[in-house]
Amino acid sequence: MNDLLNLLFKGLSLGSLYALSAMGFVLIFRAGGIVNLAHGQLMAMGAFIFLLLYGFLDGGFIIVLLLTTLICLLMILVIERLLIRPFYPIDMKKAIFVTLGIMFMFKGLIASVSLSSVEVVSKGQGFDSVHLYILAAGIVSIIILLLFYKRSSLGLYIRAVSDNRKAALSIGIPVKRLLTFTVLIAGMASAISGILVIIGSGMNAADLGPMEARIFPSIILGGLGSMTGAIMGGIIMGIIESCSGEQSGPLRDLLPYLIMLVILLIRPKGLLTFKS
Amino acid sequence: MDSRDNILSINDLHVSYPHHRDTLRGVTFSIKRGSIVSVVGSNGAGKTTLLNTISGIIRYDGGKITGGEINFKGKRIDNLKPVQIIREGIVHILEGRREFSSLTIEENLCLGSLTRSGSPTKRGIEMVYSYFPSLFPKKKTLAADCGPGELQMLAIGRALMAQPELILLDEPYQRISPVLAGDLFSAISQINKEEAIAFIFVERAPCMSFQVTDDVLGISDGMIFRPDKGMINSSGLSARS
Amino acid sequence: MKRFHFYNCGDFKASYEEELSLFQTGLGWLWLIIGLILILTVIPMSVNPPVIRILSLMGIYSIAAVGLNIITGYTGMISLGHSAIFGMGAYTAVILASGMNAPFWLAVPAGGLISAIIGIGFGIPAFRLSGFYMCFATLACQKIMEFIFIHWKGLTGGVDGISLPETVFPAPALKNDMIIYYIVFILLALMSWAAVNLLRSKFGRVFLAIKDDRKVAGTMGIPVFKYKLLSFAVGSFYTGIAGALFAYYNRHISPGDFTLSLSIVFIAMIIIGGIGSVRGSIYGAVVIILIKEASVYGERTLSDMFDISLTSASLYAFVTGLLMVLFIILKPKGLAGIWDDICSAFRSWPFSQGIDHGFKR
Repeated sequence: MNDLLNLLFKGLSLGSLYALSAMGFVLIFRAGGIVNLAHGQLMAMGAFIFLLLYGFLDGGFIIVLLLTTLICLLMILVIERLLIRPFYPIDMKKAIFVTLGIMFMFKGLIASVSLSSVEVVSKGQGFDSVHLYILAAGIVSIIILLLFYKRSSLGLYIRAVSDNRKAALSIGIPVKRLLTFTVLIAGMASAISGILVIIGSGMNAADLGPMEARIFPSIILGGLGSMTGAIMGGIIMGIIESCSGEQSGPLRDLLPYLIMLVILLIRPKGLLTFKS
Repeated sequence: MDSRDNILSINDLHVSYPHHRDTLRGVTFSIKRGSIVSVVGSNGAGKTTLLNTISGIIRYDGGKITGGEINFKGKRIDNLKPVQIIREGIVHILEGRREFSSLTIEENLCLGSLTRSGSPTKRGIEMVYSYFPSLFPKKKTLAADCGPGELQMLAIGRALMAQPELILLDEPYQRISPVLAGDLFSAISQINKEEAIAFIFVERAPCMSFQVTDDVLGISDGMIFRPDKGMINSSGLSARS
Repeated sequence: MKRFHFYNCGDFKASYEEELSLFQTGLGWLWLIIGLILILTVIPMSVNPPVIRILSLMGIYSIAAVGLNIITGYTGMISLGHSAIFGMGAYTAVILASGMNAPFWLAVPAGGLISAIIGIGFGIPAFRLSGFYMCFATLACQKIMEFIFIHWKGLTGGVDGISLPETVFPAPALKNDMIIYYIVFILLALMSWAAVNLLRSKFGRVFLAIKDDRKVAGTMGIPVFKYKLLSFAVGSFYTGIAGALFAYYNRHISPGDFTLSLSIVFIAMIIIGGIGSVRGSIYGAVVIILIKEASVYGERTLSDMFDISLTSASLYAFVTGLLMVLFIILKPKGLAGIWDDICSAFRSWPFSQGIDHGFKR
């Protein structure tokens, strides 16, 4: 019983991070009509930079965290400036190819340094206070992002643009600048979630590889365009992953994708979106 | 230049699209401060292109101004971005209203004032409700759940929020019953008088606005002409010049 | 005997027969024959064994890229599961050859057929999905296949993979490489010829119609789903053949050879080469293999001269990704498009200034 609760708790903390990243995906999708296939790799990128810095500057956890966020921010800004903004608006199919290319570039960057030198801090199987902190951080970030989306004027603009791009232009929303801003926020959400995931898994560099696509089942489960769907999808997927991972090892790599495929077959707009 | 009297003057305007040359060819006209002008023409005559050109949205459709100039209050605006043009005081209400259907009425209205930084949004919203009282009880409703008449009011209200001096209206009576259209038009003429806002209508036939407009222009094949009095009747232009 | 003539100035055709012909002039056939003679006789004689292996790999990837181009370039469905299909061909061939002692000429077509069946499975979500949803569906399929490759240990040998038995092609390795080289290029020539003709037939036109507007295609009476599956089947057959050839080429395969990265590499090939062009697929495969070899060289140079230890895999991935983004943004028609631009500029030479070549951005 205690074990199950523990698993649920771990799943919840992992799920909150997936939810955070999935919300970022939804933001980019709504503001720019871009299906960001690099989103999972962006998580891995954040985690990678964190591990790298953690290996170099031993000690200051907070400093490493701040430095990582700063580097990610700069990196996303550069990519957005150089590879996305000059060619916006691009049609959806081209955007898929562009983000796929960016994903592969990230992959190259991650492969550039072998992280075997980073000491793997192994965590015990029982209750872990780390997960409590992670859950708290995840929930706080989700609430901030949700408030931004629902309450702030920028969130209002994002909803307006996703609703009707041409009308948004006609009332003077600076669509391009809005996209830059959205990509920054969403990218940061994803990178931070990646950092927290890697901390939660005990700084295991081997987790970076599979991270490239781990976020997509949550997104599909929640439905592509919906914020609440993203949150629910992320949490459910986190719990599923946590439970299947501890009980039956390899299923963890299969189950999310199987669920994703089934959902795409029976209800492509997501199980958790009820509004048309 | 007689910019003192005219709020908008267009001189020999030429516009081309990539696959359609000379959508507008040599449009020249000017309208006075606080007047209501109706531009009438058939499908494909260039009505919508004319409005898109004035509001600058044309650059997002791939169109290009190939000649001529547009002056607003004595300032050239044909090379400005849409945002800047709105700041100058021209708001364009697109054809088919284009409401943001997943936002509430009030959120829609708030969006209208985004070009006015630190503006008294609250007073603006109250003004809109005073002209369109039927919007007030529905302010928390999603725009998707409103009727076409309310949506057109919403569109005009949203335009008012930007504190314009000129509003461009593209076929405002589409899909609206004549009764609603009458209400709408009386509201518009009231706004025109009290706020001194000029309007340009673009229509296929000058059905409602015809009685109240200060001026009627015809547009055909990308060129503006001034129809004779006899040519105008309630069913449109009887003959093309 | 057809009269041998050169291009006229400008690109025009006077009869329907000319429109139908593969090459506009005899010159095209001449180049084709020269190219085939070069590839099949002169090059194998004159270059050294490592180059032969690189060329064979280019040929194998070219066949797979032609397959992907049929699915993505012609029918417009982005497939992120192509590497799993490639792997399916490879595993089928090796399992048949090692388990049942199937000869080469049986194992390779069997690899193609099994891949085609799996490909149809990949295409089933296309019944109601299109566009980016299809992307996610094939991504899920890819991940599921990767899982099967790793965990069905009895058949696939798990993470370590499986090898061809020594009895297959027992000749010395050098001679094997030559045999594979000839087979790959003969198959490449035949299969690209078949692909070009397929795409000029009714089927190709239907594929293009589905890509451009599947609703219009549906209203014209085209059974869209059936043709989507057909496209997946044909494309996967090509890829399966390529995978089987890859198995004979490498003699050992493991799940690490068929990851999502390879799927992205295949997409990079058709983007760099040219989406919707059979020639383009080949250009793309050549460029990708060149990048791969150059990054091995680059790794050595960097570590020798500047003491920077970058792995070749990271250079390869970074450059490929960057090229992919640049091509899709700046030259969406790829190398084939650039080549066509140059050709038509030459062909209509004194008047090439004002001519719109179709895809200026």
